[in-house]
Amino acid sequence: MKSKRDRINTLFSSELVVINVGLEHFYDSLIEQGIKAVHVNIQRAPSLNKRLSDALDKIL
Amino acid sequence: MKISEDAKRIEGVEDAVIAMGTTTNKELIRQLALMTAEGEHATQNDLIIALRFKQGSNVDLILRSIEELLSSSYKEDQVKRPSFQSVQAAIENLPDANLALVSVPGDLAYDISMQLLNRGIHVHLFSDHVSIKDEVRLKRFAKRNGLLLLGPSSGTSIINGKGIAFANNVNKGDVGIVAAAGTGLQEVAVLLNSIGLGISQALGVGGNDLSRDVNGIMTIECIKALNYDKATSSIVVVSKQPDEHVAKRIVDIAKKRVSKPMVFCFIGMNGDYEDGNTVRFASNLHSAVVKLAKIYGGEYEKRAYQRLFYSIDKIEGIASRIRGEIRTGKRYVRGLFTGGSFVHECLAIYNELGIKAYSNTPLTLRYKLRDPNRSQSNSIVDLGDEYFTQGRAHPMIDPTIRRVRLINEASDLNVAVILLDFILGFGSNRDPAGSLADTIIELKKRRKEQGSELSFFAHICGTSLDPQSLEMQEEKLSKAGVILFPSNALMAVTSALILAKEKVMERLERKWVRLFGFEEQEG
Repeated sequence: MKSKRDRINTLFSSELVVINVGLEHFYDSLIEQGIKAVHVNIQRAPSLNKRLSDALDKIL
Repeated sequence: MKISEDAKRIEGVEDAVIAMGTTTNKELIRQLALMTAEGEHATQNDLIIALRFKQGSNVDLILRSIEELLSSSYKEDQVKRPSFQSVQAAIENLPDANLALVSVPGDLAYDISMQLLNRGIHVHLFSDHVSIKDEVRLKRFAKRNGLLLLGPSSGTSIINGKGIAFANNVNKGDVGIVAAAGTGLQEVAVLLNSIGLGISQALGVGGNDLSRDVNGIMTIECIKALNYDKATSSIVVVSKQPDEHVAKRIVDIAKKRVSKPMVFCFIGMNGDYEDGNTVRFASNLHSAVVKLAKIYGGEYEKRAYQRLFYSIDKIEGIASRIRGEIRTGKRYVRGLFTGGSFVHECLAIYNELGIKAYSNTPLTLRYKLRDPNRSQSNSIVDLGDEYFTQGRAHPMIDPTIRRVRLINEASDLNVAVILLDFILGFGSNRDPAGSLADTIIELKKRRKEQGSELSFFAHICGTSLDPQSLEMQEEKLSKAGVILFPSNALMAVTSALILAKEKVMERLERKWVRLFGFEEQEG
């Protein structure tokens, strides 16, 4: 198992493999630099009124 | 807002805003005199397409071009950007992921970051509006597990030669940077690059890391990692003025445990920090780079003189010329910056030189602008502050808000000089200089017709390796009549000298070494 010190310094000597979460603009910059990356498109859960939300909770 | 910039390049279009109908965007559209009755009724779920055409242009053709722009942008998204809907799915599909770049709303940032850290993935956290309590919890967890939590509110890192979020393309080398100041990191990296020194790693730890509450958790871990890193020979730590106790603690750790030469740049530092053998101190980004160049010596020190040295006569020569052009008694400086560290550095230098200036992010509350949208007297404005970026792109990406503010500032005949930063690199606007050059030319022309001069000073934080090309940006601004400076600090000092020659000159001569790192004042 890698020691604590190793993890950061291992990153420094590794090829970056990046998960981009949020702004697509930053994903584009990563790709432009030839970095292996994927993008996560975070969507907020829609807000429901309390009656609906309670009903769903009972079903689920 | 990129699409607005693309729309403005269509033949026949004078001005364009294509944006969702949020309150902020609608205000912007009003300020550009593009609003209509229909636009006023738009909601935040409506897309507003506001255009001003040149007389005689083919409106049908323009509208078809806009439609094509909108649909090609959608198709581009589908082709280029396959995406996952959850972090879990992304991790499953990319099991060798070693870094995450997180730029989500602040209330989502903690859970997402912790999910990634739990999977052993280092995190660069761009998001702001993360509570100090959550920041401390994330950083303590990261530290216990030997991981990086860079942020929150971290605009920049350079890891293994790759730019993360906003970052310049600089040469690889052996200088490590730890920065609690995003554009501070960029300025140091770029100035080092200009004198032939490259970067091993540049780690943005977030603006709160050196506060009392966070206590430098990630700064210390990064310094230790760089001390251990064989590819790093020297370390620069950059921060706006940190908590005094935290700063002292970190400096003590550095003196005892770091074997490599270090420069601590506490922008605007008040404390008396004495330079030692391996640990030196600088009060601004320019002098930090000069001090590091002197540590390396030889060619690097020579290049620092070639690239970053202005004699006192040269600075006064520029200031004197501008003073001579000012017709009226009043003379104000207005700074419109996209980088918060540049604002902080400018205000800190003004403070050293006895110049009072207001700001939306002042050094002391006494000089806080009553309304961030309206300058008073001398004002240095951070347009990248959260106030201006809610619901809209950062001005480093979208120049519209700065262009509008520029027009407003120029209409005040008491304004003699406008200061601008242009930040190049990955993540930034494709053509920062080009996006403002025509406006600058027009404003200078209008001011001349009114019988007075308006001067523009600029510092370009960039390299010739950046996508936007430093040389091309310099050419565009020079052609527009902008006076360029190789560092933000030089720009700030020169503008201060315009405002109050005798007072500033006396302090400048006395504080020269502290401000610039060079002993000599004459060329």
